Amino acid sequence: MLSSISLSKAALSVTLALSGLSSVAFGLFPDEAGRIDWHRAQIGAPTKLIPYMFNATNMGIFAITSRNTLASLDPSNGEIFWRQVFDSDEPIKALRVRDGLVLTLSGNSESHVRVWDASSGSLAWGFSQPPDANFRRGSGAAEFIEGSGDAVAVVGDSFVRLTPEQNTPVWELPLNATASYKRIVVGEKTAFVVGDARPTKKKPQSRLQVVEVDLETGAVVQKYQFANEQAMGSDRLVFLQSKEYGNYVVWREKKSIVWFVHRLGMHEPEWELYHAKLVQVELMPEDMLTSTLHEVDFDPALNQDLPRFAMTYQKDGKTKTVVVEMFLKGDSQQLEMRKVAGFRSDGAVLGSCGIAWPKGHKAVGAHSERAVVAVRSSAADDVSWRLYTDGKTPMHMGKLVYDRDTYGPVVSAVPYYVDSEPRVLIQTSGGLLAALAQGSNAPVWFRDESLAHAADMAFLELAAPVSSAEYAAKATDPSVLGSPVTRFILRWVETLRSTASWVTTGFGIFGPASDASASGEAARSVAEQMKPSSPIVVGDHFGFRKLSILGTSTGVVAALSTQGGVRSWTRFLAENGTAVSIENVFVTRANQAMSSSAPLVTVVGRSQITGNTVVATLNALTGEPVDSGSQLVVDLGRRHAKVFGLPAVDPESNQQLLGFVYHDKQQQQQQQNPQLGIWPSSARAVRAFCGISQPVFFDLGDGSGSTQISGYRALCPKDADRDAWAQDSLLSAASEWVFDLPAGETLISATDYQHGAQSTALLGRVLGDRSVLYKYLNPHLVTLATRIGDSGGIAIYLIDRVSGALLYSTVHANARVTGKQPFLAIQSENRVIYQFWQEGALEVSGAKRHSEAVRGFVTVVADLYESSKPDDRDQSRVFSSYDLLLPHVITSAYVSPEPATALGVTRTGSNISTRDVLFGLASNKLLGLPDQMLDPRRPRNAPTKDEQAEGLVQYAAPLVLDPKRVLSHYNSVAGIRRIASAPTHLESTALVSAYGLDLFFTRTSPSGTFDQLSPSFSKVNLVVTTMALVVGCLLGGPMVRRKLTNQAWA
Amino acid sequence: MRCLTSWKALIFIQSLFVLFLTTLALTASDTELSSPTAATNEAETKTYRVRGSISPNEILGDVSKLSTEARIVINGGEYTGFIQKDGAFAIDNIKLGDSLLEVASSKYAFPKIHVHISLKEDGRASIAARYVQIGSDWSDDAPVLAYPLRIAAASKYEFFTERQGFSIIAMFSNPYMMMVGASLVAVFLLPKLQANIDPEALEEMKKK
Repeated sequence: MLSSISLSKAALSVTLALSGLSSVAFGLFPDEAGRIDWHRAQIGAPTKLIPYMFNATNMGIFAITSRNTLASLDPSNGEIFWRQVFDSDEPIKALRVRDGLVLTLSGNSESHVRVWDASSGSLAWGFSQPPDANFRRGSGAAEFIEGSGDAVAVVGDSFVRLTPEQNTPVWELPLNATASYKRIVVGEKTAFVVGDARPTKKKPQSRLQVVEVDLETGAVVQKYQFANEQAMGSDRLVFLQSKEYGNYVVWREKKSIVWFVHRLGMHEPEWELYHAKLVQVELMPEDMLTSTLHEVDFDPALNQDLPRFAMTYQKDGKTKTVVVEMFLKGDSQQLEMRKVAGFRSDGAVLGSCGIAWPKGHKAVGAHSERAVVAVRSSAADDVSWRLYTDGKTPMHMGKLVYDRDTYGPVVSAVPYYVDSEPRVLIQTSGGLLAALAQGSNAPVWFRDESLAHAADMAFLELAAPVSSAEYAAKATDPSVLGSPVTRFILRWVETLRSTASWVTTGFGIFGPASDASASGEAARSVAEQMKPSSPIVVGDHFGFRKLSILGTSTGVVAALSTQGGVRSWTRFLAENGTAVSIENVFVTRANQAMSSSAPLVTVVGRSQITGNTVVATLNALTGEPVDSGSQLVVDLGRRHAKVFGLPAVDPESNQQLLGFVYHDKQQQQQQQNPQLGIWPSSARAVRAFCGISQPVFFDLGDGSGSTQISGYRALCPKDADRDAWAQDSLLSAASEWVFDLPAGETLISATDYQHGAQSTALLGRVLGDRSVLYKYLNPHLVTLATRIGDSGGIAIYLIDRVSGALLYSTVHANARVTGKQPFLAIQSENRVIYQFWQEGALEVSGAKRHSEAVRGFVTVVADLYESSKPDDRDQSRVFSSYDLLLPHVITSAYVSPEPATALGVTRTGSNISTRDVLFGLASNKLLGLPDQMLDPRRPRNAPTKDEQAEGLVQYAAPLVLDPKRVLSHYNSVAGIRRIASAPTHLESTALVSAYGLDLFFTRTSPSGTFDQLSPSFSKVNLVVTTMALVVGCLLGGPMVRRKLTNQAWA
Repeated sequence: MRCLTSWKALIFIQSLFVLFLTTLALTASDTELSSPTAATNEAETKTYRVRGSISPNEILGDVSKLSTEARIVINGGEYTGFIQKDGAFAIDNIKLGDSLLEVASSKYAFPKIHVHISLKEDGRASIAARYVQIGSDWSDDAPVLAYPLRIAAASKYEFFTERQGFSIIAMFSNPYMMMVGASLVAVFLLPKLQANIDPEALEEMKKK
């Protein structure tokens, strides 16, 4: 690949010119914001949703999500009122809302209790508990204490009462790690902390443990265990909370046909037995054994002293649900239940009304605030909901036309009311949130939160619009495309049509902007946004419009247009109903206008059931399965260690082959070599693989914590074995090299495959005196970062993936890498850029400049050249990893302006334009710094004439955060985890995508838009000026002729 | 003389009082980490709460906007803290030693602060916070900031470059326009100049 690229002086001069340009041409114009870019703020898939009136007139849907985000959504349109993004290692475990306040408990060993203002989302007060050695995973609960602004919480291994008035607990009770406490029931004077008791030798069976604590003093009133063989979270156990009647736990033992009812705080008798008629339903023993219990009033503020729960059971092959309400009968204080509602609920997901009214405000309108909703899929593309308040008849009902293949089945439902109109908020396993209303088959609004779980993304090139007529013809009569004459005519027809539309829209002056702001998501109906009727197949002339295909860990593959974020298609991948966790997305067959075969995208993930590798191949333009007859998600029956694209194409399907490396524990223990599987796996595919001119190398052990990295070469099977190739056959691999890390060092990370291979426009770098420093361009370069012992410090190794040769190493003794201060690295051509947190002296040119106190993120740039001398070049025509050519490495360290969470580099078509290094910042910004700013050749002293000619500016350690280089401008792009870039048809311009929690797309021109007309250029002015000149010539011509004739006669 | 001495004493007492207040304001978390180590180690493993607030100024008048938009970040993310409606913040579990405190905001730039927490001989902790600039030395000579910290926005980010409108000066300062101008001068003005020259002088020049 590299040998085919010539070092052209013309290209060099272009680059020099561009480098000059790039120093001045940057910054977005205000009218470009929102036109060339788009931002989608996300919250992630909710783990709990509570609709709540935070004042007399306003409601918010409060959510905590698996992406550690607390948010309030507008119930009428699903927009985010506010959100707070917690740290990546701080899961939110509990959410409570009361009296205009929101309570959260978050963190694992380190616990944080925070109270938020429900209206604005600002922090009201908070408490943090340091890491607790006795902390039991799974433990944690928090509740408000009614009547005061205080809260109680299980934090670490303690039970605490917290108050906004002081930053230390009012009292703290050590729980001594005897149980995993998951629930707090607050009574009038005491609180009950309930959890799963830790099994002991004496009591090996699982039981629930209760600690009753005095709310005033924090003293233990009593501590006891109850409920044999029961566990918190069981579907046969519910809590009933009532201020007046006390707090109860109702459960059924697995093989029992009676109810056990325990009143919290009363352990003698431990429980009372109730027969099946407790819920006022006659149940036969066999029906009783199928029954499960569901909490309906999950918030004690809602239960109005008459707590409810639901029971679902099977009878005569039908599923039925009854909702019951607890009360105490007369003077006897006998616990009684009355049936409130009963309905059939085959395959339904139950949800209950969770509207808590703030103090002093009563329910608005005639609706009940205590309703139960049952949502079920009646057909493959249909979801119906029924809202029950009492009796058998639903109070409200509705339907949603919904294809489960797009977002997966419904997993939870919550009813709420907007202006007395019922709404049902459903959530699917794919991560869709949709609000349903009566009388409409489309949702009122929806949020696709699967995109907050994006694991990988690939760009798909779309056909240019000039050939859209050809596309149409291809669909109807492909034979038309056989003749170049008909293709020529079709293109002209298309050109004329677009010209006519340009004229009719007033030459683009009055019509919509050329970018897709008007054709963005907002312009489409909700149903169309959720499942577009026709996919996007046509791009634009400049390659700005592509499909970005995202694979998410919730099993959703979504294709969005890079312009406006318009959805093209969505597909939910599941195995036996359980979502597949997608890890990689490969475009395995590119979009070719003249080809009759559709482009393909192959998605690689893991089964959530078996952990095995699963693969699915989809039509990249439509999201439809390629072969409708066979199963879409294929379980490969093994777990892969890594996957990468192979430089070979399957002759049968014309799709790129993928290589899966398998190295299971057994193989590792027996020190066997890994094996390589190919996909698609067929005899012809293996022949194609073996036809690759160069062997395929891969490495293993490059995961975090590894101490040894090994290199392997895939071996081709013998001819006989190739012919007998079966679907699950594997290729063997030969060990090539082993790279042992020095004693005490463990791997932090290694750069992966895709960073190494890319095109290069220039083989060298022209210096001021016109000599050339030749770049060391090794497509097999891997950057390893290791942690040195416990004392801190990291080592960097650059190795060759083929030979295992160590090319360069360095140590940063003051570096510190933790989960919250990550190490980031990226490779681009001959440049390696990495960032780490540094504590103490930063060495620049060997001299310590700073005191030991200095802290900051440091970005190190290392450029690799073939030699330290200009014009000295390796004479071999073909690059070989086995040549003893060690690169000459020039490095510089810079102090980063802000902590970064992701690194990226812009990519343009030929890599002639300069590059921007992209930083996803912790302050929710996407920053693009020009390559030259990070140049390690920047001189330490005032630049000489030659250095000036090279475009070098004097070194300065800090990288300045110039707001004009913030590509995300005023958008707050939260939680950027990865940055991707794709070239356009214009060399100047690259598409940039940042994703993580939010999704942000833009395009940028690091060297300026040298190949585009300025947006202020007016075509109308040009036409008018030309016409004026023509008219001037026509009018002036006769005058001049007459003058000349007169002069001749004079 | 006596007067001067009493002033000195007053200043001394005042400084002691300020030091006392600063120490009081820095409160250690009540919960000590369960550590089997000796008492001295226990003091070193103790964690502290750093408090402060974002104060309004002419750049950022309404600090309540920051509460959902910005975070306090210590040591590049080792500890983080949320901001209250009135701009107040508190970050817990901070260990002894040096830390870098930043306000991570997507719309406003804030100064960076070096926070140094140290133990005094009597076992109490004291804090010294100073403004720092990235890439420069963290000198102890810089003035110590008042505690609890009060941080004000340094600037509002200006993300956009204003598009330049039509300007006659800009148009004529274009090199192409200047060349055109020079050509026009040559075409129209030179013949006029020629016409003004004395015909005899012109003849002489031609001869030369």
